[in-house]
Amino acid sequence: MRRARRASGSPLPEGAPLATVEPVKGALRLAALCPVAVARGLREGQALAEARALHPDLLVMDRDPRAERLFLEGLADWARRWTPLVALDGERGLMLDISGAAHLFGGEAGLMRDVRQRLSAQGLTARLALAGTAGAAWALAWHMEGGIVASGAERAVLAPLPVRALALAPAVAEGLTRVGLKTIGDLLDRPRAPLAARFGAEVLERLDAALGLVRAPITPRLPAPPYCAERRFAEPIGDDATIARVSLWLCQALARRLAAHGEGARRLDLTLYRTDGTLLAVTARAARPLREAQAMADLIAARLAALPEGIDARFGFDMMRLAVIEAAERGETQLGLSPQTGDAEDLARLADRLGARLGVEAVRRVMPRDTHIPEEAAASLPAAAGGAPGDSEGWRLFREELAAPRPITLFPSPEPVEAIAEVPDGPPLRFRWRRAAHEVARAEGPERIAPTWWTAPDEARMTRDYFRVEDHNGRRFWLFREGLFGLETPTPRWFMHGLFA
Amino acid sequence: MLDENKRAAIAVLRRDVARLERSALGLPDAGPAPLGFGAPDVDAALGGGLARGAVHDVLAAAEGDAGAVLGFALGLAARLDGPVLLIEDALSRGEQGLAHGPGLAAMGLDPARLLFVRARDARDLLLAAEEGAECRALCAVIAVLRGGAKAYDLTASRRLALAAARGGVTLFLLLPGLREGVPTAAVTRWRIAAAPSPRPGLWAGGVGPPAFDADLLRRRAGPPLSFRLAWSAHEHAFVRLPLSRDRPAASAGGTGASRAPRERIAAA
Repeated sequence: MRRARRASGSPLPEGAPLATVEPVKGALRLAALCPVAVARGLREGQALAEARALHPDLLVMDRDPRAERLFLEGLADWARRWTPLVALDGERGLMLDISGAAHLFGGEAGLMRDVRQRLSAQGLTARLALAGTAGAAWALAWHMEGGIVASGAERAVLAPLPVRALALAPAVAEGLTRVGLKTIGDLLDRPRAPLAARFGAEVLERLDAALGLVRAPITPRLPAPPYCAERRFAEPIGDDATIARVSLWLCQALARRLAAHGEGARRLDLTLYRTDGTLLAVTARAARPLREAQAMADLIAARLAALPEGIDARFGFDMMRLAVIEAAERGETQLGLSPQTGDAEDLARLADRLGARLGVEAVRRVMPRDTHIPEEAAASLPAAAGGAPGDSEGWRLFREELAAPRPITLFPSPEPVEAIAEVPDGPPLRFRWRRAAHEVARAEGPERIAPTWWTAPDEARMTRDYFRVEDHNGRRFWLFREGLFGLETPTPRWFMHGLFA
Repeated sequence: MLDENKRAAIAVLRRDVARLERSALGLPDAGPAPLGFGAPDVDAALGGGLARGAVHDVLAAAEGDAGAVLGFALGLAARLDGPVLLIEDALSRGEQGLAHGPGLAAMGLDPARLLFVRARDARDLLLAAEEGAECRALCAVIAVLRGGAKAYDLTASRRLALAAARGGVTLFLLLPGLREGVPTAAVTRWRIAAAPSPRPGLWAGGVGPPAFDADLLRRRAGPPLSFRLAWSAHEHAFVRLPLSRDRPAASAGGTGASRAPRERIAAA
């Protein structure tokens, strides 16, 4: 049986009555109220003018839907401490699928207590409901005082509630009420076919889902990770050594389960839950599916070490969760089968460690590409993406097909050079680059590289004549003249594009 | 000046000390065969070649020699088998460009063997170099350090040297922005300048193969040496070229006379 719990809450400071307002149909109306305002008898949807008249000391703020949304999303991520399956419910609620999670907190009542405590520790007022179906929990949270619905009691609990509690479209709920079907109980014993014909299939679907007659899983904000291990602490922890130890312990737990399924981790997320309701999360990626606990722990440690401000525990962490976000099939580790395999493995580990320390984008491999445009001839790809294995054969072919030498370094963008050539389409005689004058002693070229015709015409790329030149000191450069003299441009320009050894 | 016997005795003692150091660190007794240049007389002069599992500093004779410095290290790495880690810092990308796969392929160094790291600064670069030096799967690490080269001091180099010894990885620390380096734990220090293509005949007047004036400024045992070398991509080996005129060896201190060869050739 599925169990779902619902929490609705908004952050409200204590003190004088406070409300947020938003314009509804031309008038400012109260959107959310603090407990003090509720106690004074104010209610949501009330016109601000009326509320002000009753309570002149009412504090008012404009509603900020974006901030509310961000807050709710943050809360949703934090709520993953109870279960990985957390969904946003509209603008003001969260839906948690706690199937199989309640026992960790001493049962459903214990779970509710824990949620309530932690929410109120953050200054949040919430109405909590827990039921066997998402629909029943929703109805209870929004239309009663919340609480726990015992398994099988959904029918009895829902019957006296208004039909609105089925989360129907307002027009449908209104239509039902108008014909005298005011409570859910009124619907329960009606013939189904006429109901569906008159008010749409939605009514019956919602009813069946709320009663648990059909399965209606929630749609979590973040997908549930395939593997996940966590540890909670009675006393908050914060020192690096303890975190490292727990992280290794979590890796060991995951490693066993990965091995049992013949899989390895491609992406690991470590989430550290602070006692103040915030969290610290790091992601580590592996070029090859990882299954060795120590290797996974090393990767996580490298990632934590790369945090610019170190591990900021503030008042301590009371929970750590390690999740495999991406897993991939992996065979048994081939120990000592061939030195090459071991080396490839070591190399992948090195790429992962460096990626974790310096950023995934910083560790790269290059792949040959079938183009004569120099900037595009080598594709540089992050090594951790796993899609960039060494392509020796590709490079061998590339080298064979190369008509002229290529420089060992290439400038990210060609640098302008002042050059003097003897004839308009000849090699330069001398040139000035970065304020230094170079006399050309030898030159090879031109190697004419035309722009590909399919590049966008507005890019206006011109033909380049490349020269490999050697100056009077023996230094070699890769220069090009852009634009064919007289045809493409009256004044071709020169650029420095790379260096030769 | 020491006579031959004394020099030999010192060499033996040095080897013993090195062995004791290695055993104290729990390292295998005999290191791998040295990395030769492929030019018989050069290798003979170096006692077989460059020590592997150690750090080698490579400086540039002048600002414009950055390409030669990189080419020299790439050639040496091409003579080894196995993956190479090439680390470039952010400043070197602007100053000398990023290593270009097709150019490495043209030099005979298969780009598929390379793992490239783009380091933001000296700290990242040294960190990556140390990680790489400890990785037994690698044969060499080439690190191009331009920004904040001061971070590469005796302490930092010692860390790298220990890591290189543990991993058996040969580490080339390229300092193209430096003419003189501070003392480091590197076993050799080179200063590289681009060398002009040899006279027409061999290369028909065009631009010749990569060529270097390599000054070995410092090594564990023996006086400084100077070679003019060309890289043969086909043979995967350096070829020794005759020095034009009477080019003097660089002085041991690396001061004063060290800049002379550059100007001398320029005037030739």
